Amino acid sequence: MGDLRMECDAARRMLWPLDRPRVHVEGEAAAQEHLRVCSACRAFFERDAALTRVLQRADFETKAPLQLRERVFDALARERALWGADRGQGGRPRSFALAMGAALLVALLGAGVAWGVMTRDDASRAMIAFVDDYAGRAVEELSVEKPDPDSVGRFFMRELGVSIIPVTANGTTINRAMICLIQGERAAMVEYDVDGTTVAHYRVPRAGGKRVPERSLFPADLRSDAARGIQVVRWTDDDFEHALVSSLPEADLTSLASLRFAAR
Amino acid sequence: MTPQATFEELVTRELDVLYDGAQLLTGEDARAEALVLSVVVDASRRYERGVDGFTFRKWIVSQLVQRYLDHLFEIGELPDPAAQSPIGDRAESPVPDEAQMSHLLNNLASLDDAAPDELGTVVRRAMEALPVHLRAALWLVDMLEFTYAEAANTADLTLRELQDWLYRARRELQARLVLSLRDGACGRRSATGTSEGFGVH
Repeated sequence: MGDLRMECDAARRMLWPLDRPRVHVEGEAAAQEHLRVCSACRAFFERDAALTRVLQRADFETKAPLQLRERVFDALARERALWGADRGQGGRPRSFALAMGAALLVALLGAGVAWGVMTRDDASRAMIAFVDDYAGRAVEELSVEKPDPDSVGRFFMRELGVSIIPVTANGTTINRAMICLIQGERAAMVEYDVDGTTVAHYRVPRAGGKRVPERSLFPADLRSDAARGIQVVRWTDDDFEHALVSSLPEADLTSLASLRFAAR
Repeated sequence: MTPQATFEELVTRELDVLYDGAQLLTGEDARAEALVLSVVVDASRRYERGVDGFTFRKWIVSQLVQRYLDHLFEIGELPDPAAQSPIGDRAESPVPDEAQMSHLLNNLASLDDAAPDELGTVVRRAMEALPVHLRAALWLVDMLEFTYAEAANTADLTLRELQDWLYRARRELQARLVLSLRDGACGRRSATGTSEGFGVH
């Protein structure tokens, strides 16, 4: 004969969790006997099992805001500075050649700024804002230590919280990858050597719709602008606003954008 | 790769989990961000090579939960587990009657067919209504698959105390889900105002 004198709550506490290891307590045998004859307690454990299934299937992970990601890595950068570069083991060294490369590109694009002051249509202003921000930040911002595709992918995931896979087509090698500012937004820039010519690919994350610019930085379809020999091809997709910048002729850069970059 | 670079890479992977937990515990975006930021910076000072990706999540999540529970204890908002009777104490909110509980069982069965994000919304709201220490216990064990020993160590509890927290968390969650589903708060409402989500009729 089962024991219905034991209170249900006491029995449930003693036997919970029913199907996993639990801490043994005095009176558990009586609780087992109670469970055998108490339909309410059996129903409780059935509900609990259902709840376990629900908890295992429920997906409510909230994404960390981009702003927090930036604050975290800014704080870690300050820590590095405070404690010494990676406790004396490296950090993010930037080579002289890298800095010089950045400076040269800044100078090159600076010509675009001067040109942009004289033209006032929206597309030009967008491009000039893009160039202007880049010119102000290129040398100072973070760059990846080893520009192989995996390192670049990890670098952008760490800094921007987005997945960016560099182009790895034949004849295309990565010179460097860095973070720059476009109209105040952190953006990814990967500079390639494409058949002997330098091509910079910018991506401004749209952050899954979280970042909705007041005015799209770049037109939706593939469009190009030029400034003193610097060609800029721009387009957008669901994840990024893109720009490809190079001294290549417009037709070549547009073709390059379509064939190698637009699908990335 | 340097320890700092390894740390940053591992933190990148876990930032969503940390923020999610911080938001669940604090209930506020700003406090959640501040909690994550302080925990990550402190952890970066303590991090040493050897905490691999598998253990890193538990390592840093433990620090986040410890930090917040310590804070609650200091300001007197954390129940003292030693002061609670492990058996037979009163429920922290009214437990629905058996009829309502049966209703919940049916609804939970229909929740099994719901999309994970729909389930997430329902469960999240129910969890947010629990006392913070019970939320923490559920998050560690049921969401992040901490063992009882790991969760007890994180919350500075005995195994029995941890088990008691979990039991009460489950019972409370059952009750909250019943209330949510009964009120139609988590289901989709039709134009006539009747709930049509998750099998509530």
